Amino acid sequence: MKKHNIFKSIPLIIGVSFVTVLTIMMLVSLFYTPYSPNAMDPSDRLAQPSFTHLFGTDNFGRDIFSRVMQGSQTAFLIGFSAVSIGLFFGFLIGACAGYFGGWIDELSMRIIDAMMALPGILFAIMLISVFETGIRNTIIALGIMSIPSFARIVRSGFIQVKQFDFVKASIAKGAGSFRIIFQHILPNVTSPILVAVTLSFSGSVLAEAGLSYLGLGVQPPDPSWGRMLKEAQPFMSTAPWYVILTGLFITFMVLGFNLLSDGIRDLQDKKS
Amino acid sequence: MSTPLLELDKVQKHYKSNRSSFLGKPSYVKAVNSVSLRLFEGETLGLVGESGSGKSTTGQIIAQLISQTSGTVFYKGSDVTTFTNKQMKAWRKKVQIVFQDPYASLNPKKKIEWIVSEPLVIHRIRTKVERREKVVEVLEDVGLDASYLHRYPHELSGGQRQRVAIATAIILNPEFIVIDEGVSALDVSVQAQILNLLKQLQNKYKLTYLFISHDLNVIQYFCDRIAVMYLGEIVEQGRTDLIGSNLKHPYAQALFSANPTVDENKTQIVLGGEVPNSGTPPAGCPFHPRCAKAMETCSSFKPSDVHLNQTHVVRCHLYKTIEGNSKDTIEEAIR
Repeated sequence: MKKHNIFKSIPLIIGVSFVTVLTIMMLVSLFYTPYSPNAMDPSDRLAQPSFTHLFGTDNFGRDIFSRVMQGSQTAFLIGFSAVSIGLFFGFLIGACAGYFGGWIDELSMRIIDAMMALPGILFAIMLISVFETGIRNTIIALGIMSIPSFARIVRSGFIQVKQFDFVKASIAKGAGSFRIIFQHILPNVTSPILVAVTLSFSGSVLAEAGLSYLGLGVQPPDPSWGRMLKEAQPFMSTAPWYVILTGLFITFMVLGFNLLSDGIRDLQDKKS
Repeated sequence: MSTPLLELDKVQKHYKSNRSSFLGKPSYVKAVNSVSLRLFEGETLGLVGESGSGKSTTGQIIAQLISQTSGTVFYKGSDVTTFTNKQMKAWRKKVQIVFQDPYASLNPKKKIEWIVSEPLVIHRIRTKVERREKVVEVLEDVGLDASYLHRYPHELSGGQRQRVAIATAIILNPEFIVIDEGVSALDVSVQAQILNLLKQLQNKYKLTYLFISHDLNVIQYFCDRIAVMYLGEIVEQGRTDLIGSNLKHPYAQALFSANPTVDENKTQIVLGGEVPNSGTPPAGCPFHPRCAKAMETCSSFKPSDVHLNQTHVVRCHLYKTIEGNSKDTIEEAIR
């Protein structure tokens, strides 16, 4: 419960700083990038990193740093939206299953099991090929993919907290299900949910990069780190900085959120 | 004759336990087996028994936190299971429960003011400002004060938390409180304070208590009547002054003789064997495998309630009902 615990967790410090830097970069890119991310300059193709082009230029002469900055918008948008979808439906399913139990629990958990049996990325590829590529469908596919893990975490939290005496005491005082769920159980399961949110965020960013690399995710002109990797691939030997720097940012993002979730879990363990 | 405040009539609670195989018949654990109890206004009934005897289950059935498998719970003569949702909510104001572990019975994420005023919020009683006045009033009733309003449960000691739990139970002016091992988790000195507090509150608010405990000294000090449970059945009930030499059921005798006292002349009855599994209780009297006075009939026939006098009921083959002592006369004798 002591405040200084926060500064003792190294993963948390690193995670928070990575995520903060990336968030600032994303916010800045909304108003300012050194060059227009889509401005081509045929005379300055595949330039090495220098003070004029911090990360060099790509095969069309576009400034890589500006494109990486703008790509962070997509990464955040997709992470945030996919997690929101997953959290919303996962919470709904998990809370009902955990709170009411019985056949509701049985039915919803079997559906979740069926969803988990399907590899997430395959499921996303299937959805996208049936409908069409683009940011919206990528978000929907990744959101659906993350529902099972949220549902299971919320359910187990609910089952655990439901049997505490303060819940029984509140029922004995006449509280309804709504009050029990939102006032008594939810505040006591926020930390595992928070861990799941950060983990799922990095998972979604990685999955988006993977899908876009395969050409199934975000389509031009929307910028995406995954697609930049794909575009950089043919020039791996002539312009290695292109692929390395882009890959590094995907790594920072994923690592940042993973460390953040580790840190939150550490704090939580220390508390209990 | 007035009706009892609360009456349990042949209440049973059976839990399904795991099947032995997929096609096997599910077996049932009889946590509470045919319990009949009457509680009258203003009295304190102590429910004693060893772990697993069904005391807490009985208490939670009374508060309707779990529903009974069969049997009826009457409140002032009306069957609580037939209540509509609205009636049920109104009834919940009248019956409260206080739990054993004060560390688990308060929501750790909420402040004391929120916790104590919650019952008022649930029943939409008073405005926000008036609620705070009432909360302070109740906190003072239980020996705390307004400085506790903005604290979290983890900042309080066990005794203070139990006072808060009691405050949440009395804020709705209930008529009946189930105290489920309410002082067992506390230090002995704190136990005495809480017991005195409960007595004061009983006098002030005309409360009726069902006091569940395994602590025989506490029961002896605190209760007007006792009921002894064994394997989900009430084997003996009567006035507290029976304790000593007048308990009749062999189990009740053994239980109270095991209670350490300073009396050197007291003989202790040591029971042999283990408590049987309540999934497969013995046939006949549930106590017969361990009973020193067991007879042939004990293993084949279940004993029925024997009314030794107007308040004293024992469920044992050793005794016969004395004419004229039916259960309807109990209440008059208590008064």
